[in-house]
Amino acid sequence: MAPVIRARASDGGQGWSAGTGAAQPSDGEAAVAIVRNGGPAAMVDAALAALGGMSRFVSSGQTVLVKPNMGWDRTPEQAANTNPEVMARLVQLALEAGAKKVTVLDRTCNDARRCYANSGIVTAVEAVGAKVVHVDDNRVTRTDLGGEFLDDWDVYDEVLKADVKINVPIAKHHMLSKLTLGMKNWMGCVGGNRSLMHQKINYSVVDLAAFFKPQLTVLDAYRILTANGPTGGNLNDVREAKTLCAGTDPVAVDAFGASLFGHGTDDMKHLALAEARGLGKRDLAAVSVREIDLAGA
Amino acid sequence: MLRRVRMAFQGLCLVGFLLLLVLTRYDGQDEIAYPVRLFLDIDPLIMLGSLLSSHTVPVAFLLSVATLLLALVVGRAFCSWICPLGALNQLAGHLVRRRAVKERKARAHKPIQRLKYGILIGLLVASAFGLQWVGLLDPISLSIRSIGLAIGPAVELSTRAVFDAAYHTDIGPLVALSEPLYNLARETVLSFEQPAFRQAPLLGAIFIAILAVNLWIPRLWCRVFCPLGALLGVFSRFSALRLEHTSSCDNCGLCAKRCHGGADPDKAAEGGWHPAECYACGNCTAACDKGLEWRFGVPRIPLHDTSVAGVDLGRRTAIGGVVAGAVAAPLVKVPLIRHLPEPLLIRPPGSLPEREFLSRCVRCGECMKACLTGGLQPTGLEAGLEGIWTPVLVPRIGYCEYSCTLCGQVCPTSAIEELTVEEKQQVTIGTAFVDPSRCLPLAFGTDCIVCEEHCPTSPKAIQRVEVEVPTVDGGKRWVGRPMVDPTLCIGCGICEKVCPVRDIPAIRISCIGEDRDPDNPLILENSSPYG
Repeated sequence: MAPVIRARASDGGQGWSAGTGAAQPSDGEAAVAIVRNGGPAAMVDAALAALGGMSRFVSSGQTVLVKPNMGWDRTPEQAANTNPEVMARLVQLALEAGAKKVTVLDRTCNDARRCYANSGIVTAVEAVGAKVVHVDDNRVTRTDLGGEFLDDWDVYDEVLKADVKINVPIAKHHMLSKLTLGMKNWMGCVGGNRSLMHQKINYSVVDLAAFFKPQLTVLDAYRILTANGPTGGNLNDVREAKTLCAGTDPVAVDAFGASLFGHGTDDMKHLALAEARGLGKRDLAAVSVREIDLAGA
Repeated sequence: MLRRVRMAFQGLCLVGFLLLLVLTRYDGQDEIAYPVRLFLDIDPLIMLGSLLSSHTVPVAFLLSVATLLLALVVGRAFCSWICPLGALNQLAGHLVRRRAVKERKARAHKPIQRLKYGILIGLLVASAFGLQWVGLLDPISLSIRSIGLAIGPAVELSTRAVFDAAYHTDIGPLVALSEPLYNLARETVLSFEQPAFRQAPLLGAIFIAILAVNLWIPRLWCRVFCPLGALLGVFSRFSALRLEHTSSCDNCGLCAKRCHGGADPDKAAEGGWHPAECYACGNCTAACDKGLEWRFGVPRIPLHDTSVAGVDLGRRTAIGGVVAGAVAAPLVKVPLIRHLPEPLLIRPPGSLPEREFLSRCVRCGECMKACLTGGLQPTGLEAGLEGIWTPVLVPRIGYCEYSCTLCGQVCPTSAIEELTVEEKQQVTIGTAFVDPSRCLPLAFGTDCIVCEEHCPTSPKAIQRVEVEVPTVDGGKRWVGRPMVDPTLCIGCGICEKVCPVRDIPAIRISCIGEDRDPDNPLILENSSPYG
């Protein structure tokens, strides 16, 4: 099948975030794939196959950012960070699709070295050829995010340099925003006093999502953190949901994530705001969804 | 020959010292894999001071006994073979060239060299009275503190400035060259983040001054002030290795012209030779291969050898040292007699109760160098003059990482006990307090709760509680406010660090409730704070 959308090459400047980012589904290619009951890597494979393959998003010679949530000094079992196997498989697929370079980074909440190491992500993605980068507050560009709430913020140059952005959050509990899913994950790509964003968390999240516009969002719900998030720490709060949701519509993916925790699409304020901003649809019935069950497969 | 071997070994030790200092950091594993405090472990002065002030000696210090035994065999060789400060002083001394006469004069023995014995006695007497100031002047502790907290960070600042400037030129080929170099430096010698310590200008100035006086008199510090040199000098009087004049010596004075320690080997005839000041550097025998030679023999007894001066310790110096130590200790300790807990004196997790802590901490700065977040800072006078340059956690600069145990691992004297990760997560070093006049939800009805988000305990010690707050227009609004559960809070300070109110954070840690001090309790969980 022919790639439907090519990610636009970065022009490195202000105009970078404008225009259409999210891919539109074409015939036979789902906008959202929901995979259940498989291993982390197998679910990635199944989801990408349903979406038309990684080559739909990544072309030869491109620089790809695969952005996990690895903000916390926790182990994979504690479900505070994206699953390392999901990350590794995505990196592999991007490289197989011809990516020149696959970058993995996050601006962490705990000490970055500990988060990178203990999340298991560095070991997993470096083994398959990703370039792991530590963000550097002197390697940023002050950028107008052009949001309703957020305007000038420092964005890490490594993020701005990426031709293709794949957002790979983990689904987990969060007291202020109820859950932290895909759109909130972009907080890890800006510098500065980001604690200020929490004053209008829902607007901030939507502004970030509108600016960063990933070509693909892969929500890891292999293990989900149901309480005491986003930090977690207690295995009793972790549920093995064995689910993965990937798609070109970041709003629909987040809406699906909310449903895992029993939240309706109206419970999460950022979903409605994002839909109003034209970032996607929060009603899963309105997008083409492929559901795949790998049980017994 | 001896000189060549010595120079190679001395260089190796200096490089090793600096390398271990660089490696005093997180390296991808909970435990530091290298013996980063090796130079402190072999330091007999630190061992002796700790023994006198705290009546305990950590097992690692048994190594320092070997250093003393070594002094019995090879004298003060430590000073020119092993000591990093000795090596740096030596290098600094080479920055000037003097004419022969001046050189001879600068290198001649000076009566003031006996001062170091007085300093040694003063420090040890003060230690016996519980004032542990040995580390302030001990050359190993001083070097780690000065280089780790001041000189190193200053060098890094300049290095990073160059790389940052290159990066921001946006000149493609230059950036393509500089960035890989920068990344290499970041992964090897540079700290993970630019270190910043509050006392750096003072610590750095002291160190630079110590190096600078070598321009006037080479190795002035080593010869006049160094208490470790004095201690080794005392032991070296029995040294088996010794320098001896042969019958070919024609008193030309070449040997003394190159002498590191001002030992005046040329004054043997008139009894002015000071073997206790000899660092076995080998310069004399390199300059003269006929009149002098190294020999191993039965230990010398200076009392019966008129050509050799004994340890250069006059009665006045000794009494002066004793009096100074005995007076300084109570004088410095007076303010602490009725002392209440200092609210912002948040000690690292595993720290002993304050009295014991102060009797052990040698202010080497290893814990601060190792601290992941840079939050451990040298005190000014927060812990009294007695506790100057001891570690204090300043959460606004850096919080205590929940699963990190580095400070206890690198502490040479167990002033900070080494804890397992599980133990460490249970240790309370202080308690968080919400300041309602500054907290965004409470003061302004604004959403926030970043403190709760970051709180690492499970369940969280900071909970979000819905409250109705008045708004400025006379209305009311429901907001989520943070509430601290003092029985769960461990005082790590990440809440204070991430609070968006940056100047005076709206949630702050003070040391109350710290586990180490039963006299500083907050919530009575048992029937007695001592239970």
